[in-house]
This record gives sequence, C-alpha cells and structure tokens, in this order.
Amino acid sequence: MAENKAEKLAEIRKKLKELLVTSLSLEDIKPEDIKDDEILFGEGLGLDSLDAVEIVVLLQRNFGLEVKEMSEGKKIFYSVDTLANYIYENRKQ
Amino acid sequence: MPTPVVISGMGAICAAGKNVEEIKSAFAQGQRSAQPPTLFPTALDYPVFEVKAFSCPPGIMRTLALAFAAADEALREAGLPQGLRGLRAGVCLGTTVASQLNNESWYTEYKNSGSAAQGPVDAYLQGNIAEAFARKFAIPGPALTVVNACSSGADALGVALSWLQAGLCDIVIAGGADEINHVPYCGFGALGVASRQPCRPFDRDRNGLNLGEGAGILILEQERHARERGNRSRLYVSGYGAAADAYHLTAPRPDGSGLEMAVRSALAQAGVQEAEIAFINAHGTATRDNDKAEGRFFARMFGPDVRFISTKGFTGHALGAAGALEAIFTALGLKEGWIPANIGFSRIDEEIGIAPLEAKTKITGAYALSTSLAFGGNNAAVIIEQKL
Amino acid sequence: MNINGIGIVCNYGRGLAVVKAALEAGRAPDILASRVNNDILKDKIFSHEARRSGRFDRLAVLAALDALADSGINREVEKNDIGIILATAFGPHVTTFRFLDDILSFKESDVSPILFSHSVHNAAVSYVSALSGIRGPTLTVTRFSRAFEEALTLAQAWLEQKRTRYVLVGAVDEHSSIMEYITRFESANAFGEGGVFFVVSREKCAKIYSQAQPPASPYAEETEPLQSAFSCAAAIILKMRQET
Repeated sequence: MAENKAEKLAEIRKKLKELLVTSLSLEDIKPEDIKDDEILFGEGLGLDSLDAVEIVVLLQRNFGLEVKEMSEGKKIFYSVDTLANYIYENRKQ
Repeated sequence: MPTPVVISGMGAICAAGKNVEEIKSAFAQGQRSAQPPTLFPTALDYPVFEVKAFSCPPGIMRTLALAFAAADEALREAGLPQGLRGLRAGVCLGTTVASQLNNESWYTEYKNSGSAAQGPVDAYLQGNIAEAFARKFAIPGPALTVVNACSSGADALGVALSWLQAGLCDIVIAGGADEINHVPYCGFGALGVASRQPCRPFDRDRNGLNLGEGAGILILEQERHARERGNRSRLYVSGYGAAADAYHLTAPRPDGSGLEMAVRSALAQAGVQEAEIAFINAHGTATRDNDKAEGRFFARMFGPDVRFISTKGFTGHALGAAGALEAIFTALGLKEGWIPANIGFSRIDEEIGIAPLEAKTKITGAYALSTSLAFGGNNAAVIIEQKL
Repeated sequence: MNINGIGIVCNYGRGLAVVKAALEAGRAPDILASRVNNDILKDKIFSHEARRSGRFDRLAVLAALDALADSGINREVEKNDIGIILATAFGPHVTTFRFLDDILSFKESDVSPILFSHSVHNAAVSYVSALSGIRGPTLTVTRFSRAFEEALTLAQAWLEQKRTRYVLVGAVDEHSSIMEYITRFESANAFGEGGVFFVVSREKCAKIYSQAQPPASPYAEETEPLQSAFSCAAAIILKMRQET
C-alpha cells in the first residue's frame, strides 16, 4: 500500500508540474526544474493571485476537485508536494 | 479658466429602475433584487442584477439597446427630444461586452463548419457603440468607444470633458453601457470574484461582486451653448482625473496610490479641496481587494468621518456602464439633497477602519466625488458640482 | 504637437530600420498584411508576470517601449507625466475566442481566469503601464475606422490641457483566420497585424520627427486604426530618407 501511495503521489506531482508550466505559461521553466517542496507563491516560483485562481480551475478540470475557500487554499497551494497530497486525499476515484 | 461643462440631461437604466425616477424610488425605499440570470441558461449560482422586462429590438446588441433607451431619456431632459442634428456634437461611450463578438452559438457554428450566419457578424460590425450613436443621431464627431474595463463609463466622461474644453464640439453624448453576458459571467466566476449572495460592499464579510447591466448617459455641454438653448441645469462635471497603478492585471495596488493620483488630479481640475467634498460614490464592488484598497484610501485622504456609499448593492457591477451610472447617482445626490444607504453593509471591516452610510442620508454641499477602479489598473475620479 | 519617438512591430520585424528597408524595397502595401512572426515577439521583458501576456499585448508592449526608448524620455523621472492611448479595431480577439473555446469545451466553472483577464481590450495597456512604470492616465479606445485619428486628437487635447506632458499614442491589431472571415465583406485594407506607437508632446526631447496636426488628418476617412498609424509612421520614415 505504502509503495502504491508513493508511486501515485509521484505520478500526480509529475502531472501537476506539467500542468503548471503550460497553464501558467512558465515558458523558461521545465516541469522537472520545479522542486517538490519549492514555495509556489511570493518567493520561490513567484506565482501570484491570478495564478492561484488558475490553479483552482486546473484542479477542477483535471482532478475533479473543488477548492471553495481560498483560506483553505493557502496551505494546499504551498508547494507541489502539498498540492499533490491534497489531490491524493480528495480525488474522486 | 476652461469652459464650464454642464450636465444638461441624464438618462439611466439598470436593475434598480428603467429611468431616473424609478431608480430614485428604489434608492429611497432600499429595494434591491439580485436573482439567478434569466438571459441565458447556466449551472452556476451567482446572482445578477438584470434589467427586467426590457425588450431588445432584433438585429442589435442588447448593450446598444440599453444605451439608446438611456440616451432617449437624457436627450428629453436636455430639451433635445429631436436629437442632435445640426449641432457640433460628439459621442463618447464606454463598454466592455459590445466590443467583442461574444456569441457562443455563432462561434460553435463557425468552428464546426468554417462558416456561420451573417446576422451576428453584422450586429458586431454595426455595433461599435460610438459609431452606432454617430449614425443614429447624425453626429459629425468626434466619436469614440472607450474600452477601459470597469472604469470605461467614467473615462468616457473625461474624454468628453477634454473635447468640450478643447472646443472640438459644443455638446457630447457621454456615458457607458453594458449587458449581462454569459461570457464575462463565467469569467468573473473563474476569477473567484463573483459572490453567491447579494453583494455586501465594504462589509467585513463581503465575498465578491454581482454582475449588473444597464446604461448611464449624460448630455455634457459647454455652459454657454446650454444657456443659449434655454437649458438651466445647475449640475456640472467640474473635474476628471485618471492614473494608472502600473502594478497588476487583475489586482488593485494595495496602497491606493493610483486612485489617489486620479482623485488629486480631479480635485485640482475642479479647484476643490478634500474638505469640500460632500460625499463619495465609491466603486465599491464588494470584492475583498477593491473595497480594502479603496476604503483605506478614503480614510487616509478624507478622514474617518468621510461620507461614502457604494450603489453596487442596488445595481450590481454594470462594468462599462458603472462609472457613468454612478456619476449620474452622484449628481442626483447633490440635486435631491440625499443619498441612499450602502445597501448590503452591516459590519465594519477593521482592516478598512471606516464604514459607509448605513441609512438614507441628507446631503448638503456643492461637490461630490465618484471613483472607478478598473481591471488593468486604471483609476478614474469624477467631480460633480451643483452651482447655486 | 511634436512626434518625439516612434516604435513599430510588424511582420518585417521590429524597429524603424526594418520598416525603412521594407518601404525602400517597395513592400509598403504588404507590410501589415501577414501575421507577425512569433520570433519577433520574443523578448526577455516577457518573463515573470508578463509571461502570461498574449500576442496582442506583446505587439503593444514592444511598440510602446520602443517608442519611449526612441524618444529618450527618462521614464523614472517622467513616469507620472506620461499618458497612454491605444486605438484598436478588434482588440485581443484571438484570446477572446480562445476563452469561448474554454466555455464550449469545459464546465462553466472550469474556464481559465488567465484567458478571461487577457480577453479584455485594455489588458495590453495594463502591461505597457506595468512594464514601463508609467502612472499617467491610460485609455484604450475602439472603433473600426478613424480610431487612431481620434486617439491623436485626444492626445493633443490632453497636452494642451496639461493633463500630461507626454502621451504614448498608438494602434495595435492582431490577425486571425476568424477575423478574416468576419470582415470578408469589408474593404480590402481593413485588416492587418502589428503595433505602432508614437511619443507625442509639446517638448523638444532628444528629437522631433515631425509636427502632428490632428484633427485635419491626412488619412482616408474610413481607415482602420493600425493602417492609419502605420501610414503616419511610414510618411515620417520616408521623409527621413529624403532628407538624408
């Protein structure tokens, strides 16, 4: 089970990074350049409020997940790691 | 001294009423109704402020029909029921929706077959709102459609003021118009700024805007020209200012410095001090960011006792029409001697530190300010004056 | 009103020199006729928050910043005293239709807010202002014809009324097969792609290319804004050739 979870998370992280690069037009960055624990907003990757709402849509479109409260979003949107964990826990399978 | 510019007529249509009298009555009674859209089917649950029982003639955009309805009222009040033929007239109107071919069924047809019906294309190519007005009213020009997002209606008044003071024309049809359209409805939802409840401008628990629609039309005129025609209006557009945030596409500059530059520029043009402003009709969309930046700026520049309201609780956010409608509401406040409650507000936001007026309030004074903040970072300020 | 700086982006490239070469080679009629090559729109300025900008935005930004640089104005000193007026016939319609694609392809709640915010006509000027630091009045105006002439007239009024010392005034439009279809019954010159900006003022600045005299416009009555702005620039560039 644990191995299965680790594999699934790795898969989600890979897909997320690809989606972030295309949806947010991160043209100079390759998906594999984004570190799993890199801070997405402000410092780190330097994303902003418009990127945040795009990520909300990205989660809805690709993983069927709704983030209704942006206050809850802050913790989830911290890094690719936290996003992937949230998707893993909440995704409708 | 530049030529004084008088408001010789006003016409307004929005969810609060289909003419100025109806709107005044809704304002006085504190009536509002935000409801699910009926103009298009949708699975989204954001209420809107529609103009009800308004029939749009076939072949023209709803936005344009709304603008014509408001213009009709404004021209009658200005004493020009026959229109502007023979006058040195111009037209400047703001919009957002009318500048785009936002027609989903037409676009689907085009994508599927590589061709599509000509009707919507003609409506679009004939629908540039200033060009359509210029044709209908035989306006020789200047003519411009302002597409500055949410400050368009206010900026259109500024353009008209510049034209009149430069002597390019004697009289201008100025204002803005917009309809509720499915495309921006989805867009504002995706941006996370649309509320699922009736909006609460400046309230601690505000959580977004409601879209609205309508048109606000002002007949602006060189004072000398208006008087020669026998128009006796005592309302004036005395100042306009605009400035850019140079900050972000969708977020206002938190320090409000762009808005401050716009307001200072408008005050300077009108030759007015802050203390002479009787009240402010704020942009007050009820989004977290707008109301915080705007409210804090009011407190800083005008002091803790500043009288301000947002009328968006009555009208929703009518985008390109908003600045013009609110300039009209500002003028009405001075003329009638009262302004409505900031409907939707109940609890002060400590981050803002000041509260809008919670009840219908008597107003005395000669000057009032209307502010507009746009996506894209443009800020606009209009000073309305009532001369004794 | 003096023209102190010019910036141009079109399919032949970016800058006065490439346009001059094209004009000298007799290519005037087709300079605006085709889409601007994507490589021409690449610039390191489109990083960070400008990474999301669309074609229309980029045409505006490059032409506007080139015009500012050409004028020699010190942006840091003058930023509050520069206004912007952009005229366009069709706005960023490629992005507008891409957003419609989203609405047709996904649930209403799953459409892209980035696309939506870039589908409005004034997104381009927002980028020009944010990337240049300009804090004066900013305005985007639209008409299918005479929009540039009207923009120039308004710029003159702003300068005379001392609303700003300088105005960046220009025209931008983008090309697409769908807009070609929509305008297929319009006049032949109704269409093109590019960006042209001028810095106008009552100041001397580093140079004065010419005196602009609106509204007695030398251009055809019913000309699309980009065409008008380009004709104005071309006339100045050709005059430069005669003088040298």
